[in-house]
Amino acid sequence: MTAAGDARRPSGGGRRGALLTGVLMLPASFWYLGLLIAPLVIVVIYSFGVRAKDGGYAPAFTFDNYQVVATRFDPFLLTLGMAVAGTALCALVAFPLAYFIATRVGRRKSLMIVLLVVPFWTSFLIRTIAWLTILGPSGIAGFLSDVTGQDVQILGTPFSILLGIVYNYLPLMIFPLYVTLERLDRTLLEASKDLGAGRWATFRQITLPIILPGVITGSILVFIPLMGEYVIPALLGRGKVFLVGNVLQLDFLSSRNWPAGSAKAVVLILIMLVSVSFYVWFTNRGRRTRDVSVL
Amino acid sequence: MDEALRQYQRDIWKARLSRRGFLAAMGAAGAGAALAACSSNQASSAPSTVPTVAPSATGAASATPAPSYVVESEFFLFNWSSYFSPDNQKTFSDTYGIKNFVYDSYPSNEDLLAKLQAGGKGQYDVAVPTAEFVPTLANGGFLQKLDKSRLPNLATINPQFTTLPGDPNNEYIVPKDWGTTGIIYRGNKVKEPIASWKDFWDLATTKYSGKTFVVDSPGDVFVAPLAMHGFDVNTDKSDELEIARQELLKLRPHLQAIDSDTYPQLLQEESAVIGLAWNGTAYVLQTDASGKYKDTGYTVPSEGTIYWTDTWVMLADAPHPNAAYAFLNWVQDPNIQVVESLYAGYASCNDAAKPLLPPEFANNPAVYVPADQLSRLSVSTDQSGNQQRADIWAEFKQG
Repeated sequence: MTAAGDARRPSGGGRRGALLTGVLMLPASFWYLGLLIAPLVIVVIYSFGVRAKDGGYAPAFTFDNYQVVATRFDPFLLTLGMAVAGTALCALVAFPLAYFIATRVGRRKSLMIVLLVVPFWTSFLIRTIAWLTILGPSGIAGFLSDVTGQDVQILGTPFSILLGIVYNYLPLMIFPLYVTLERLDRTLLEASKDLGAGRWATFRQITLPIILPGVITGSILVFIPLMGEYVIPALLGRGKVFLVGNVLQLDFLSSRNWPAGSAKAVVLILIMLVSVSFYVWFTNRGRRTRDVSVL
Repeated sequence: MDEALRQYQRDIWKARLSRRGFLAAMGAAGAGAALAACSSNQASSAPSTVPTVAPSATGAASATPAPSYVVESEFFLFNWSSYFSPDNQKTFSDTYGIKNFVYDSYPSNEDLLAKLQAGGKGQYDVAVPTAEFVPTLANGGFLQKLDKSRLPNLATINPQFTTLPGDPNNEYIVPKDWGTTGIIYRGNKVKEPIASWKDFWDLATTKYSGKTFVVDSPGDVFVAPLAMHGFDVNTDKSDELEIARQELLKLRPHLQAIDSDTYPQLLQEESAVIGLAWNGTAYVLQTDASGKYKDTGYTVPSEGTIYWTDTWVMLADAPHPNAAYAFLNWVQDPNIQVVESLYAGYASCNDAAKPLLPPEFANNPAVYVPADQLSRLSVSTDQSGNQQRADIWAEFKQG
């Protein structure tokens, strides 16, 4: 592809081409440098500082903020567990639905897609608050309490948070899966069947390798924002489930201790980098071995 | 629309009453507007949770003489959302010929500071920080010292509010309204007498285990264990805070919620019947249009508690200083204060306003602390920089 590009480039127009490339890259460069790299650098610098007298950041060079992270690591583990479980649940729920829309709906596909998007026209906050009623004493918990005769609590438990997570993040998983499933060549499935493979073998050897990029994209789209989630634990967790997002909120707003919050943010970013890298490496490795087995 | 959703809509409108709530920080005003759009028939009645007992003297600003200076035709106010009466806004504009009254809002003191730091200086005339936040703003150079000769209406301010630790010489603030942190409970369920933090702790860890909440605000929650043991509520002594820590961890497993936003619902649906909260909620529940929550009680605990004061301040580089002075003086006119108090549901700092308020408001212990209990109150100072408190709070939240 690059060879074709080179061949098309007129001789002597290299400088103009470079200029054009530069101009076209400006918005993206500004975006990444100004709004991603620069703030990241500031966060790292702040993480070695101390809290100013009236709150905020004062220059210093200390590792204290990182030592505090080490002694208070539970929220990180809980968040990681919630994010992994939430992503897996989203994938489990999203796959059948995406498969259904991609293969069984026919001409009403666009309608189904619109129906998936419509709830997102309502504020995230209101959709989450609505669950307070559904899960609360005038909703499911109340009903279960009446039936069982015991005081059933759903809100304030990890279950209610997982439910809120799946509900709010599901579309981020459905769409990448849907896109890959839609491109799935049905003749491959028929060929597999003709060659004597059962449903499960076909799924494992044909469908799964093809939709894997969609699964990876969807998982990353769900997992990364989940690691910073703080609205769902505050509302559906009744403020009793303490995730990293809530820790950061406390540090930056309540304590106005920017360096302490920055150190935790850096640790959070590292955890996300490591876990996402591992995930991508692991799934790609799996794909390569499968490719080999097909050969 | 179903009743429960209507209830949420009303409660979101009331978000200002849990002033330090987190929903407010998420832009509850927008959320409220979105819900209102779902049911237009409710939209008009939703904000009227504060009784609209209009005093006979509504809008009569005549007590305040016209200023001797020329007031600009614009005025820019930076305030918590729904924290200034629209009636008063109209009265002020009409009285002083303000053509362009801008009301922008922020959800927390921290946001106010952040917006000023980010270049908001010079964009607004008047803002409304809580008193304990004033030193931070003043040290940052964001406030103007006030020329008292231009504010004659301040004469009737209760002296309690002109010597606040946040501004001991009263150089910066014009007190707006005040409230307390205490014990709120549903009288139809909680029959035991609630007089002290000790009562609260005893009942919360036994009979009302799982039916208790505290607000999600360390500055308020720390008050209870410290006062219960007779310590200074603003203490930074390590051993005293350690005792507070043990008490808090003892309470933690019995809590239904640590929540500043939805706790009015918890009380309404009785999933919590007692809690540590702010007085404004008690008043709102008592006066709810449905009449279902009249039994709500509020106690200023005998061991003592804190009160907070929200204040009008004039910002440095205010673009319309004369309008700002006219406003700060006019807003303390007793008749204006009456409208203001009934709108916000909080006690006025102006002694001259109290006799003009309806007795059911002025004599309500959930609004005005009874005279014989005033000695229980102390001022809260900003403890957000204390690392030990921050650590204890994180441990408490984690459970």
